Amino acid sequence: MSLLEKLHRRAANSGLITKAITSLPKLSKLFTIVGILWLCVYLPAEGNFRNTYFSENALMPNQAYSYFRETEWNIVRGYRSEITKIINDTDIRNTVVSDWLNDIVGVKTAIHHNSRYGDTLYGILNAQRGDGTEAMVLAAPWQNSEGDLNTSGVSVAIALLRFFSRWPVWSKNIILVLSDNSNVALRNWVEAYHTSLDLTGGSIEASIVLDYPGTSDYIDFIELYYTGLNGDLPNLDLVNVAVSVIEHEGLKVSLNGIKNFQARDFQARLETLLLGVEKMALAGVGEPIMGHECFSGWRIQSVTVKAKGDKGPADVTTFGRIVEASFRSVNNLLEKFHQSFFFYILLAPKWFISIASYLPAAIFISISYALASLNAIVNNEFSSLPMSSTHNIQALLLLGCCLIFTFVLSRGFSLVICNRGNEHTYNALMTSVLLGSQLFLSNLKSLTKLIIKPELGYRLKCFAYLFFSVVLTSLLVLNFSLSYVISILAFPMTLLVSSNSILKNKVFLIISNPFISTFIATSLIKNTLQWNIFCQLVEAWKDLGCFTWFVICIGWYTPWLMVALSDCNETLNKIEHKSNINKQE
Amino acid sequence: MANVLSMYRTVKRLGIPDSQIILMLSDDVSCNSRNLFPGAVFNNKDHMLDLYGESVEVDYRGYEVTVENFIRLLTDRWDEDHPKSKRLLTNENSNIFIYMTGHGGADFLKFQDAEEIASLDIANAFHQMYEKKRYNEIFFMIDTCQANTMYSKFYSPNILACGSSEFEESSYSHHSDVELGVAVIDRFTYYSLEFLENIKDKTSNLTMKDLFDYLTFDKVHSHTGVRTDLFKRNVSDVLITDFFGNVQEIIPDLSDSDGNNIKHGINDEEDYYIEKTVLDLAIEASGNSSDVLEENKTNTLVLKENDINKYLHNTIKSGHDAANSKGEGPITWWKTLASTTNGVIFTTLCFILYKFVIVTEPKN
Amino acid sequence: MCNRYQKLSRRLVCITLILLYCFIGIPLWYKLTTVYRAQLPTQYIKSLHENKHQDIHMVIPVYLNFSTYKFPDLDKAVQAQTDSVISNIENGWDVNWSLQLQNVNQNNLNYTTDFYKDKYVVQLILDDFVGCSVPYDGKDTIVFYNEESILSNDLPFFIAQSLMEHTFKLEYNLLRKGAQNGNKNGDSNIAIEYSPQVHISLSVLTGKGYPVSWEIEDILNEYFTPFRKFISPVVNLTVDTEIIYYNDLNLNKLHNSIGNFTHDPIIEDLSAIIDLSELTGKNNYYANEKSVLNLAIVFPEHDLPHSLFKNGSPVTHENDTFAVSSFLVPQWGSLIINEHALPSNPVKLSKAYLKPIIYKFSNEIFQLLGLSDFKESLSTPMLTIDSFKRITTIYSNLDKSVDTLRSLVDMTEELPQMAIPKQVADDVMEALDLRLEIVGFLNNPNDETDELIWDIALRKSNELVDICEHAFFHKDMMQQNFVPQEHKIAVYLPLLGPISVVCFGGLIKSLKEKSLCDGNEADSEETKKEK
Repeated sequence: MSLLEKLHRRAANSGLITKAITSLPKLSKLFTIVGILWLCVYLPAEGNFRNTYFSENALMPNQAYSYFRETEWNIVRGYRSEITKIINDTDIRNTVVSDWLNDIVGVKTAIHHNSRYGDTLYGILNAQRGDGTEAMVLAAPWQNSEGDLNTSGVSVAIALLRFFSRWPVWSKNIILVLSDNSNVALRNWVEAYHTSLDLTGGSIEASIVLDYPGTSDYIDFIELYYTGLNGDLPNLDLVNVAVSVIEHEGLKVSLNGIKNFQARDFQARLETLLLGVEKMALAGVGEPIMGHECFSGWRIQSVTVKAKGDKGPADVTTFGRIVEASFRSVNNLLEKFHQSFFFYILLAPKWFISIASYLPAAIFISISYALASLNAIVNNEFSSLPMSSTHNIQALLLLGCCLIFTFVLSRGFSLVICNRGNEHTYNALMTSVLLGSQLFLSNLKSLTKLIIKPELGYRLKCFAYLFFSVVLTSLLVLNFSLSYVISILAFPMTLLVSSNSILKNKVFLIISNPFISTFIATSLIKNTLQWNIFCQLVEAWKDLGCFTWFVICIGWYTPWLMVALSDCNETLNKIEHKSNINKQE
Repeated sequence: MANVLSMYRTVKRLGIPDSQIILMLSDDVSCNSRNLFPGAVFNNKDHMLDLYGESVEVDYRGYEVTVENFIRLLTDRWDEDHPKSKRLLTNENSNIFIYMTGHGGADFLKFQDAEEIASLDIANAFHQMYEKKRYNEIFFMIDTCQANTMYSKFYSPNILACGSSEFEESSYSHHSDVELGVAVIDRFTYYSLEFLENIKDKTSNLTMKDLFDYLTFDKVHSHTGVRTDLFKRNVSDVLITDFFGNVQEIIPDLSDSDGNNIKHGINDEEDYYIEKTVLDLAIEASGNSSDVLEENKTNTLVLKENDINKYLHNTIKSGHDAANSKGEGPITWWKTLASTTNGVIFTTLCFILYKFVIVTEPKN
Repeated sequence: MCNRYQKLSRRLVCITLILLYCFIGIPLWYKLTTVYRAQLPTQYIKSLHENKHQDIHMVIPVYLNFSTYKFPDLDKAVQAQTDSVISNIENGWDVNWSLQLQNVNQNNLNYTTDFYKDKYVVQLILDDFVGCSVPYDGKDTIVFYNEESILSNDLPFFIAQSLMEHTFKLEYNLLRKGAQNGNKNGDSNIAIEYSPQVHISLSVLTGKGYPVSWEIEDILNEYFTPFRKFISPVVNLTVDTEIIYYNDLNLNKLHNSIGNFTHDPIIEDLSAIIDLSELTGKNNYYANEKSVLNLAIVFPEHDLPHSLFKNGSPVTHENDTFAVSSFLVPQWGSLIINEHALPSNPVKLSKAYLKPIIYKFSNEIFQLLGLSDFKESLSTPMLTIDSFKRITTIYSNLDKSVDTLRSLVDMTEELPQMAIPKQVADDVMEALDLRLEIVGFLNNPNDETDELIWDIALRKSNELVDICEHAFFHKDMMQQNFVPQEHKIAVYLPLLGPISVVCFGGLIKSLKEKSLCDGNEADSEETKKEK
């Protein structure tokens, strides 16, 4: 105790504390900048990332020889030619394929019917000598994320199932899933599997989604997608298995579809990192759903393997071998994936950063919000208000009201407004209405002549920042990217001080508005105006269970509202105060 | 597991019967659904030899392979109803061979993913065995990473130990089988077995020193270690068959001055009586009377009266050097001493292995 | 602010907490976490181990019986002689062993009464030469003397000589050689370790599948059962028999594949080839008997080369002569190998065939049990058995028990973390009492039932061994190194650290309060005064 007291006295004597208090705003800006630099400059630099390694020794990828070779090629071709004929006919394609699957010894098939999302055909190959309590999924949607027909993908998948049925090494069941598309249909199947389906094959350990449109026999390189919904990532070991297997076959891996996947310099690393962060933040929203996101939320490790090109060094059986070798590896496991990292950022197929290294970036930013909140309490003339003053209570009440308002808004929007499906004009209309309302709210004071007391204003700000900091901190671990992106986009909120000009404040307020900034940000990324963005957010929630919409509405919008309210009085009061001071002196 | 089963096979080939072998395996490999060759365990990728094929007698399998059971086995502290075939029934004339393999580290060895045994535990168990005179000599062989640390703590006499790698060094596997997808045997064990294959039968004269010299760094890729300070004999005098083999000594009943042969027929009364003494005495004592008995009695009475003179001369003459009669054979005694591999030797193997243990990367 | 009452109650609370801590907490923790170690009489056992035989004064009464002349003080003379012979042994066995000579006619009991039936009696018979004889069927020693020996007063010496070197030969040899120079049989590895229960397993093995039977049951009843009764005071034998087909103990390896021999096999080849594992494997099934001895009669799959049977003896069976060779396998039993394989028609092994085998085997049992030396003919079985009883009691059993107890005590000292259950302590005390009882028996054999004293001693010493083994091998005495000291710190520190710090900090603060409070009071008083 006395040690702390000594320090405190020392600090007080040297005036450190007062200095710190007065420079709080600067500190908070500093922290934000440090956070940004940490991610963008520090992490991709040499020495701050590690080589990937296998934590689970039982996986042993590539130890066994893969036999899906030339003999199977003809079978793949056969299936492919048949499928090309029926793939456009959504009525019969499932029944035809289910006939084929039923001919394979040991496979049981069923079709999951859903009027809204389409029928999904799936077949379960029971492991001959295993105990059938666990399963691995091989998914090949009829239509891939870009809307192309996944002909080769489906034919390879069926040929693989036939190939697997003749091997007695499986200790887990293998489930083949052919869903209508790679987003809502697959997601619906996964949900149904865990709730209502009759024919099931045990708990799913891992899944690989095949995406191979076209009918070419050759592949140039493979794109590997791994970011799931809501910040859910597959275990790093599965990604390592996939990368190791693909590279063993002689193909190159492109993570998340990045263009210059061969480069390994700082620029490339930074790009991969930022792409990864973007994909994670926007997962399920606006990005095409590759298929593996559908498995998020049930502790299923899944990746999507997409074949690109039609000239290259590898052929279609390579694609099959990738799956075969990965399955052989996963087959070796006795327990669920638990050894390796669940939170990581990949800088290259063989380089990663674990959570211990990247978390400080987001922590700095959320601390900066806390500092801003502290600033709002102490750095003004109302710092000595007692805790139980009416202003505090009023502020808290207002916080409550804003919460309720945003909640109602989000639900209302999702249930009522965005109910019309994908009609573009309607969506555009809705979006512009929303954006306009935000502009209106930004100008509350001048438009509605709402005046609030200055103390209340400060208290509102304080609670707003504190609330936001808490939201960010809780979101950090779950969905680092979302938390990071939101915190950066919302930063201008903290720059609102009474000493700024009114215009500056308004600008800050507008650009830190959740909806406006989301609109602007996604439009910049995609290079087109995303009029659909909000309905996409809502649909992501409804169809896929992605909670980004709610984070934006409740987590971000509430503090913004409070800050907007607090802005209603500041400048006026300040000018009056100044003038009063001037008068006095 | 292939390590252990290969050693088991070698030891059986050199003559140690199953009743003198204790095998502890996790035993979940051969019938595992991931095994492409169900019911078989191979130690070479050419699949020439199926180690799990015939007559493998596993004494402790699955969940019985625990540290506690191992220590109980060594110190013989069991419940009364623990079966004899699962106990280590050795005495002070037994040589014991202990082979352990698996994942290991500095001063520990992993048992079945859940526990570890410390080197101090084994050292204490050996000391308890020494106190209770449960062994004559122990040969301890261990093939894990950092194996030499495991025998660093022994302090009881007459223990010879050999490990596959030094502190902070890993032991490597020899090769892997691409069909099965695992590495099938470790270098240390592979080269030890290669050496032991040179011993064609139990009469070989190869010594332990030859074995230790054979396991060089070039072959094993790690520094093997031998601990001989607790062992009283010189390592170059210790035959391999002292520990690995079991030669039953057989003493023939050759004729000597007393004519101790089986004589069938009742022709030679004079020589016959000696064999009959004990049994007849017993029969007399029990009071049985039968025709045969009468005959015997007659014989003996005859003997007493006629031949006692001869007998007396024998006794007086032999009075003072009765104790020094060595009878038959300096040869026999020398043989007895020179090869302590008679039926006195019990050799025991303890094997512990953890499932798909062996990888081509260093195991740690 | 400095309310005295509050301060006092604060103080009291702190002190009570600390006292609770010290006087209840620490003892409780100590009691609950220490390993239970029962007390063992360590010093006593160690001193017992140092000189194992310090309290054994074995005395064996011997009676002198005169036929022609009476020598009233011959017993004292012979006693002096035997004592001097024994005391002349240097570096021998350190057991205090002596004979006690008495004349038979004391107490007016005649030689023929039952009193002397099982006792050691020396018969002195006047003849014209000096000699002695020990008949095979009794315990008497017959000493022949002549007139000259009486005159030259050699008789006491001679009697002492005969007693030591013939009657008590086994014990005398052991005394001379000393216990550390090998066991009672002098470096022989043939005998198994002594155990009061031994199982005998008789089997006939044939390489082919042609049926064979044997009249073993009659043979056993006639000959073996009396034998078992005879040595039942020393060892209890249980018997089982069996016939095994298609197993000739690997003798077929003496041929190469074509059926000819690679070279003339000799006896040494037999050692390398023979495979007794099938029979040895059965040993585990006999739970009560620690040791098993075997008799195996083997008929090979193919005829064996005659070179092995040079010293065998011919057997005639239904006009067929074939040779049989017998081998003694140390610590295992006896092996009878027949030269020819069995013919295809069923064969019955007659009593005539089996009888000599059984005779031979019973001799060999004596060797295998350690009752006789390898090449010595068993000329005085009853004496041997008696001596064996005494030697076994002391050497095998008593000494072994003391060794076991000493090992137990050493072990408990070296492994301080090992628990010692109460059962072990009880067993140890019982063992020590039993030992004293046995020593009492050995020292005072002059009871009514003299003969059975040695039996009683042997039986009790077997019990003693069992108790000691039971104490040593208690299944709860396991020490495992799973909880090193660092772990204990890691467990206790988070639990007790914060609590202790708070308690002690509070105590110190409350103690300091006094001074502060007084200081404050003094200040306030001063200020009051000032004002």
